[in-house]
Amino acid sequence: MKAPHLDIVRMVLDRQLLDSNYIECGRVEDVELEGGPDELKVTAVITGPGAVTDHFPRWLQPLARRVFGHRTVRVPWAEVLIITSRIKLKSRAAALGLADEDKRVARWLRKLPGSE
Amino acid sequence: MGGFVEIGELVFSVNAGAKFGFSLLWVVALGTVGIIVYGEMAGRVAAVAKQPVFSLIRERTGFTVGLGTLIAANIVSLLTCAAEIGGLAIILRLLSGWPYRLLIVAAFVALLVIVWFFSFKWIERFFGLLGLLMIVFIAAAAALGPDWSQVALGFIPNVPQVESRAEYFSYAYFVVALMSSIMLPYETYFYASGAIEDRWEPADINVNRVIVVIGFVLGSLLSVGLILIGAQLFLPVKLEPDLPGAAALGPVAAFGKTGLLLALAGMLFAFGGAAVENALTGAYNLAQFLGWSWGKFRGAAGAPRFTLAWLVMFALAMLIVVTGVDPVMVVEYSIIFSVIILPLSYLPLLMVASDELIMGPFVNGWLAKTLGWFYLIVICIAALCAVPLLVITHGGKG
Repeated sequence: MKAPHLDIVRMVLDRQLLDSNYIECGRVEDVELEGGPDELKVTAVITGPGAVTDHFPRWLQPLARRVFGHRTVRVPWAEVLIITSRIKLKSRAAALGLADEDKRVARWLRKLPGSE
Repeated sequence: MGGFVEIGELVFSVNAGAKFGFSLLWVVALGTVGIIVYGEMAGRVAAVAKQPVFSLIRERTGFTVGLGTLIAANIVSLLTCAAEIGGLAIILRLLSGWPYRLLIVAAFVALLVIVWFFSFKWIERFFGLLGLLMIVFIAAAAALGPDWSQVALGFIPNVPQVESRAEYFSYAYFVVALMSSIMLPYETYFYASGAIEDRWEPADINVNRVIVVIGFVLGSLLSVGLILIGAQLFLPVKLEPDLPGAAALGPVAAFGKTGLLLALAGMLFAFGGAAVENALTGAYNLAQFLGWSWGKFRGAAGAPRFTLAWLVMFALAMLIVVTGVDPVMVVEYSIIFSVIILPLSYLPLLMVASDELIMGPFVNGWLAKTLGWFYLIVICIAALCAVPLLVITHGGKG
């Protein structure tokens, strides 16, 4: 991999993702690259609970998937708006499929008084 | 809220005085400067870079080391939360005489309701202001009339004359335990998260300095007061108080029934505040590490997984303590183990606070850098000694 690509990977891995409303919506767990050894292109960032649990030790993965979920979400690189200490995306988390777990828990919490 | 005494610091401080008189006071001074240095750094990084501690840990140490730190930190927070709920039940039992397990459940429900319905600001105000009743311990320690020249000598690092080698190990154990109880890692996690909850900006950096100095010095004065009470009441009769309620004997001796009521009420709110801090800290750590939406200011619907995480923290803590396990023993172990994760928590913080690209004009100056590295070395030594000393001294029992 060429140095500039290495720099981009280093710059984005483990960073916090923010949607267009500045709401936290995951971390960059992996980066998708395309091309040969001379010309590599970053095409997407990989996030979501499934991508997180892939980092867990093998023996812990089944439990982690049960607790956190198993969906992996691919966010196209074209969605990345600004890279600072956090990564701002162009769209809302829900539009990118990054809010499904929150929605499921929120549906349950809304049954309790004072949740809004 | 950060800076007030919780059940572990209370028990270790009274015991430190009961076993070694004033000779451990220097550890309180050393630990206080340490927690001020790292608390200030955590608040400054949160205000400038909008980065809480577990976000930095994930980014600077990577997933695997970060995950290890997260698991250890959340176990410590869970055990501390359990101990605080147990402590609350002990105090409520002293006040009401009702059954201990029923009071554990009552304390759990009360804390749950408070955190669910109160905003972050009101939680801070409620426990922070009512926890000030703990000042009765400082007043009691002074009213008991200690030998102030001996007290002053205690602030100079020393090793007291003791009878056996086992006693030296016991002294070393108390040095590590007291230091750890003052520099508990959850205090910086909670403090930095709170700064983001309160939407601090770089302009709030001076407020940050004032809060850490006043908050942590007040907490340490309470610790000093408790050591003085232990030294004056329990050392002469060779008694090692194991129950948190024993500390209230200081205010009783000085101010009678009023002192007792103020002390018990103070402990009630201090333990309650610490239980809330630890339950929220567990949820902050998890949400920040995994990148979830977090914050009390977002409400349950705005940060659902964060909300579920603190509900689970409270529920697990209640289940631990309702088994009948001794809360004091639980907190003693959690304090000793927490010193092990201190270096992993503070190193990323020090690195980011010293990074001019991130911090700009608010980067660490020479004093913050020097003190930061000095305390990192101190806590690394304490971390290496903690478990061997725990085993050798059988948890400080000699």
